[in-house]
Amino acid sequence: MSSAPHGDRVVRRIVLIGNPNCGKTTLFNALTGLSAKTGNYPGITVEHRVGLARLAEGMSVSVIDVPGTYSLVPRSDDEAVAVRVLLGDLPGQTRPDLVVAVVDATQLERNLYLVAQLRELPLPLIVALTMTDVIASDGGACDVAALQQRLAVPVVAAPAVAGGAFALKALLAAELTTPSRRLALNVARSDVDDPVVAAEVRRATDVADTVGRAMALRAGMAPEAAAAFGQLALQRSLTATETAMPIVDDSAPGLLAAVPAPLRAEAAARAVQARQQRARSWARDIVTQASAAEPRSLAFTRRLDAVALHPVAGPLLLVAVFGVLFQALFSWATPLMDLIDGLVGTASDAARAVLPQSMPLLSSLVTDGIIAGVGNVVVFVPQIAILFLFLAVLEDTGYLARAAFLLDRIMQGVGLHGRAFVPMLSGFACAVPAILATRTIENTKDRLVTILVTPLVSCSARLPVYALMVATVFAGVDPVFGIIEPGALVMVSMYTLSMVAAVAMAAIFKRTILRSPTPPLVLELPPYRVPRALQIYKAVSARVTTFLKEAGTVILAITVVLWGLLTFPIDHDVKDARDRAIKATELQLPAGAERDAELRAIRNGAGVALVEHSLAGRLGHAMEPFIAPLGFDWKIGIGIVASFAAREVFVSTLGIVYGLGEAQDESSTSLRDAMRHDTRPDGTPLYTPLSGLSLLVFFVLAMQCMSTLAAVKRETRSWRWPLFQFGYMTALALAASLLVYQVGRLLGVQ
Amino acid sequence: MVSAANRVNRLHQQPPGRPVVIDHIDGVLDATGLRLMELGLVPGATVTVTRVAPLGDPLELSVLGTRVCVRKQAASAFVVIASSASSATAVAGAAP
Repeated sequence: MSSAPHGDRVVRRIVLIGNPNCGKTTLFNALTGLSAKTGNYPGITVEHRVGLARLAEGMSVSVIDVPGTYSLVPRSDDEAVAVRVLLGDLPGQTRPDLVVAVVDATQLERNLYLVAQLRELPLPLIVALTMTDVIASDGGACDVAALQQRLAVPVVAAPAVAGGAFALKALLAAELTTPSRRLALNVARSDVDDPVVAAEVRRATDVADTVGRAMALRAGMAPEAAAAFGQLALQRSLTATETAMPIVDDSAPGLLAAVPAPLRAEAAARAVQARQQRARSWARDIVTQASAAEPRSLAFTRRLDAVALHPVAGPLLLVAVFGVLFQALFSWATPLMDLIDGLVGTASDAARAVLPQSMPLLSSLVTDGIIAGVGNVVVFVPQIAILFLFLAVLEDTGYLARAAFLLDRIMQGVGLHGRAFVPMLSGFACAVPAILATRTIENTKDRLVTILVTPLVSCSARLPVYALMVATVFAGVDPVFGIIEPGALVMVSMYTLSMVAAVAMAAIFKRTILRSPTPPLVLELPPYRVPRALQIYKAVSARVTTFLKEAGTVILAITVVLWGLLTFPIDHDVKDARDRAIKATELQLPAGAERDAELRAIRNGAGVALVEHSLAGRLGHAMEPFIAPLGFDWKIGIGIVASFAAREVFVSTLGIVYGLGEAQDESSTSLRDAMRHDTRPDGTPLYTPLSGLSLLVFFVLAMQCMSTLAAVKRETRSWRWPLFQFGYMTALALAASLLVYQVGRLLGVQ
Repeated sequence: MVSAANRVNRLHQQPPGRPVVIDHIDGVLDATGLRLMELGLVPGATVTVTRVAPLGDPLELSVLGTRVCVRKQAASAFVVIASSASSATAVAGAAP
């Protein structure tokens, strides 16, 4: 269906298409206000936005904002979605009722290339000129009427000022209510002087026209669209991207491949050149500057870039900017996360007070399952919001493009996409927002590689585990070379290991299952802009909402499942004995510190037995034969199972297993002591520097985080990649720990 | 066309700040080459290397009044000639 029913009328659909940075999103916001929603087409990960625009009394239309694109021959999935929406090439979608080409008037000639391509297709088209306010404020002028005459389609100025979209709305209303005009197509064909080249070009073009006819038929368009479609197919045959575009790929497949590539390249190049010449003639003298001097808007950008891209100052500024981002993720989010933890505790207490004491299981499900699960979801919001706030500001000001320019060489050397820098850096704080941030990587395979290796980057949730292990097993070890604290050395080694593992796995994936050529860098440096509050608010809130809705449900569900694993089956003998002992103690001792201590001891003692009896406890015991060669016992096994909720849960779970209660943290001396005194059946200590190191390596490499898996599922839209990721990281962790422990023992290390 | 192959002048070799005119594209057009053509790097167009990234790659180009960054590898496909008076006429002649 081309139109979704809305109320009792049928809502018509308008699509906004334009170059990146052309002001399309600002225009979209001006048209749709706050009604915009993020949407996905089935099976496609690229998002688009849809909103309702009220054009006149009783006349609302649906406006679709698609990713920016420079041409109709897509190079990335984002661009492919833009073109497929335009051509009605998505499952269950037909062509929009009207196409609005958004054109940046300050870069008229470059932007008109896309218009030249659009003019070759029989689509109902109008042109909206943005940034006319910038030209006016620089003292220049823009001849809209002359441009309209040359383009032979309606053109309207739509500056980003109050009421700027008013004229556009009126034009949209007029266009949608008048019967569609039959537009004379304007196909760019080049004149070639050289007869040999001309014959070659004709040969390729003839085949392209045949393919184009099949496409036009498939698209349900007039046969006159064949030439333009043929050009799309011809150019697409040269780009070898892996983006899906069924309308091209399924129409007369293989026909073009039979034409030698140099011929196709020549024909395509001539067509692009002819279109550029058309754009140049259309743009000539439309925009007039007040003087020959550099416009004020560009002078500001040039002065700022003299610093931001300076060989010395540029990298320093870059380090400063991302240092602040890193600091914000690492420490500024902490008070908010603590606040959420506090609120979760308060909510648990309130629920416990309200729920009947006679139903301890229900009370436990609500507090330890559901409320804890909601807490596990909400706790990510501060970091996600901070990361996307930073990214939105950096993107909107234009600085992110400068960062990519400065960093491209390094990331290229590492074998990762230039845009993988932000996710990898964010991964040190938390993999969940980092994986959400991979969205800026256009190439699907590069994005997947980044998603797959980002959880190897040592996140902040691993710190409590590192701290506990270092304090437990390395505290008594002599300094290395007499000066280096072994704990510090271990910490640095773990961070190094995580980075080496991430880069190495990225290199392996890029050469095997996700093989793809180094993505070409074609990056535009837009003029600096003041960030727009509405845009940033929308970007941040969209990220947070989709995370809460989609990843949140998975996290909540797994929390409840983990609660079940740690709770069932219940050992009723232990539980009844515990309840009797509690009652007896309450009767024997007067209320006070002594009674509380006694009660705590009873609860903690029973807790050990209950956990050991539970499915998680049995799983820990069942795992022991497999993890014993790594130096772990069943108690660590339970910790590993439970830490799937979040790595730091490992610490509190060990607290339960050692009968100290769950309120233990990594600085707890009683937990450290309990661990130090724990022995294997043969009497040797369980926690030695070697088994500790093995456990640390395991935590560096293992995918011990359901929230990350939920985020990966959300971003890849299938369970395939999160399951693969879980599998490869677990295998890597087991192998590495095995290696550490066994080689260590062979070398006689304790 | 430039007369001798060994005197071919390529875009990535240009010193920053000197405008040149694109003569032709060497080799078979690939995805990046096509995109750069779509951004205005077509034969007859004037282009200036405006900056080199601190680590030597990529380059910043100025074309059609916009700023585009490309790797040297991609820029090396573009054979250029000096933007002299004669080539200026060629630019004008290329336009319809």
